[in-house]
Amino acid sequence: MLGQQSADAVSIKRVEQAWTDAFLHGGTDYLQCLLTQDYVSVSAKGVPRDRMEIIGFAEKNKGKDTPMPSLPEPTIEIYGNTAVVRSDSPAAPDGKYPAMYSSDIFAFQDGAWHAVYSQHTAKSND
Amino acid sequence: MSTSVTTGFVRISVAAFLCLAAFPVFAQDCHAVLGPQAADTASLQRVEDRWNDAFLHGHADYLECLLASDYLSVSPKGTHDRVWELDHARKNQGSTAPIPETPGIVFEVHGNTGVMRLFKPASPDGKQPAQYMADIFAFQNGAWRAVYSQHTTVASESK
Repeated sequence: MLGQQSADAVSIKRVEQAWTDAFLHGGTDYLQCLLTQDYVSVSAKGVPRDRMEIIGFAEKNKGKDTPMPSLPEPTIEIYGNTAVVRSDSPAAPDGKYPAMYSSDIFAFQDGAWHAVYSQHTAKSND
Repeated sequence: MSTSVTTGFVRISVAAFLCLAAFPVFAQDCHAVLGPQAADTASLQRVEDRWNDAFLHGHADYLECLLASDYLSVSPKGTHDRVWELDHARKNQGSTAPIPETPGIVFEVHGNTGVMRLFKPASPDGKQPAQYMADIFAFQNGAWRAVYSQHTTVASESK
């Protein structure tokens, strides 16, 4: 399901792309393999969501043909079997989401990258 | 020409030797500073405790070994790098400030990846808003190294 991978940035980029695709188009099988059992994502508003909530959101996207968004190029740092993928994105022009910092944390285990944690932080206007 | 090349080669060789000789000493020192550790949650918890102590009381030598060279901390106000952390820790040298209690910390280990995450409620006086905090670690060369931290303020409408 996760495919052939290496503990490198090239594989991480592919995983990030496949993750977005799976979430937007209901690829719940992929997410079941990608997200660890204790995976948590903290939203920019400070709301934590666990693995089952995330997969539940993806489930609702089955059959949708939402286009893949144009995301900012992330910074990928790899420390052995640990990867930190972080990005700095501007606010949406329509105001739907604020300017924010985001990060996805991965662990390379059993030949594949697994997402263990994500966090988003809205930038302060102060 | 030949002498110059030889001299240059000797200089480079000496410089390379010094670099190679210095690295194991640095690595060995950090090993001693960080102490014996295992890639488990017990070690991760001790590291987090020592990090708080080192920052609040100015033990910059510990932080120099703990923080990865490209360590970054993100908050709503922006980012801080390793140098910022070290500078601010040094300002706390001599401080006897008590280490605040932080109940509810969750430690997770996935192979060589460690995650510390915490929900910190708002301060009773309302000066500090509620926030989610995370420290990310990588277990390398026998010790946990801090590679990234992030802080997210809980929006009032999400309560």
